[in-house]
Amino acid sequence: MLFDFYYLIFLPLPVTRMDFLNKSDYKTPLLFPVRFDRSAKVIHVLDETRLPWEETYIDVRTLLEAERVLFEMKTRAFGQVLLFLYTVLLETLGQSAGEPATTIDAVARRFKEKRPTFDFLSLAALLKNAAARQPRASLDEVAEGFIRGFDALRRKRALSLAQILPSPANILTLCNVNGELVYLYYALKSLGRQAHFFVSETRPYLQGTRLTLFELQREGIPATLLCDNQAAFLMREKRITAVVAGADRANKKGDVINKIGTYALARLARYYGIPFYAYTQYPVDADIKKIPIEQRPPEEVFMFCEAFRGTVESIYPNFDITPAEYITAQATPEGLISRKS
Amino acid sequence: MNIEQVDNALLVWGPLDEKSAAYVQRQKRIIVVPEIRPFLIGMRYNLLLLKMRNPGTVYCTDNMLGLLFFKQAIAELLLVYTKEDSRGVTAISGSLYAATLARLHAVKISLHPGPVLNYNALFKDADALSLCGRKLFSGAAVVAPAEERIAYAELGKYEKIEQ
Repeated sequence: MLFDFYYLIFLPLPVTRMDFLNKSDYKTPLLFPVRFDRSAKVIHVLDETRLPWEETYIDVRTLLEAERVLFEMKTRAFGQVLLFLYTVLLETLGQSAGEPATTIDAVARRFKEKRPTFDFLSLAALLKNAAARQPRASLDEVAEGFIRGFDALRRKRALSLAQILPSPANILTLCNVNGELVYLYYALKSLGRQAHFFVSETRPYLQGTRLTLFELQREGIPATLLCDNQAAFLMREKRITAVVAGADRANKKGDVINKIGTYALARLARYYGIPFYAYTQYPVDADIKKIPIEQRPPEEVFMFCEAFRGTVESIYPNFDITPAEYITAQATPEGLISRKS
Repeated sequence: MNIEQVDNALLVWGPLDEKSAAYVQRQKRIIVVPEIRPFLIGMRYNLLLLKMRNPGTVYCTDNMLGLLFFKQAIAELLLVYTKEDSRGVTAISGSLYAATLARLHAVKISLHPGPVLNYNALFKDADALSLCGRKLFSGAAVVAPAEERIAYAELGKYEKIEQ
């Protein structure tokens, strides 16, 4: 059984919403921030650290270069999934049958050393399983099918979540989930509902401001930026009707690990009676407290205020843990799941 | 520094003055100084004041408070306020965030009177669109008062420190 402590909320997808599921004219580059040019043997990685000021791509030609852009957080979230898949393809070019499995595991281990919280090992297992199920397909075709399938699931889970969000949906969010809020907006719109996003800036890297606000603005979606500590004020003022966050890791018990600041929003949301939803991937059977929390170089906490760097001791835990009891429901590739009461 | 090294700490929220800084200095604890957006009071004000007094300080961003409370690394919240009446206190923007998280984790809240500052005149960062005095982004930002009211009922148990 996939979920031990949860039950699935079965919501049939409305057939009239095919317009949303098939929509392709998105303007945000963050839906697919990493692309692979097979003929040139180069991976193009959107440099998310330069957004919103510059939309530039970094060329990656080796595993070492891939590791570097990963560690420097040039890409993250769905981008690191794409980077993993394409790095595997890059490394397996010219290999004979049987070798790819070893390469997949090796790339996963190397990536995990750079970003220890993300579950590259499970991703590797998924890719190998997908390859095993399609013995006649090339790894290229398997990876592309994997990406198309994952994107279809992203749209479906946006639609599933849209169906249970309150109307009007005044959604508080943080960090960035690579275009999934754009999907959520159009899913809500396809259901005839209004939405407004309140984007928490997400210090110190400002992924909320630089990425989420950027992509919402580019799509013309109503959005308002807030300082991370203004969440309680907005909740008390009843200006927020739901909180939606991503998740880098989740376990079958329903706990999630996500960007630093998620736990605080979940606790405050519960206190103010606001539902909290998390987009999660494939949950694992693990004690979430035993998963290492990545700690970035402490001086990075002074990002954008470099004059103060080195003046004092600092900390920079990149993620926090939100226990299942504070999560109203998870939007997973399998559908919406909620705690058993 | 590693977050595991932060333990039994005093969290400072609001602009310190000589008296409140002296109180902080008397605590034989790690002092956690969050940045306190949008004005960056922690970075641009409290750190400078505390540096002269040299207690062990650790700097973090505001969104790290949840994890610090979750890990039971904070033993006390020092909430600096500027006004009080029979119903509650007025303190810098974000105080409700820090105080509610402290209360939800059963962390002691100490109220200390602090300086009345004209934030908008002293600091250029009035909202989330700017940082360190530079307007970095465009768009709509939450317009929140520089200070916010917190009812005593919202604080739960608290202790007043009068110097």
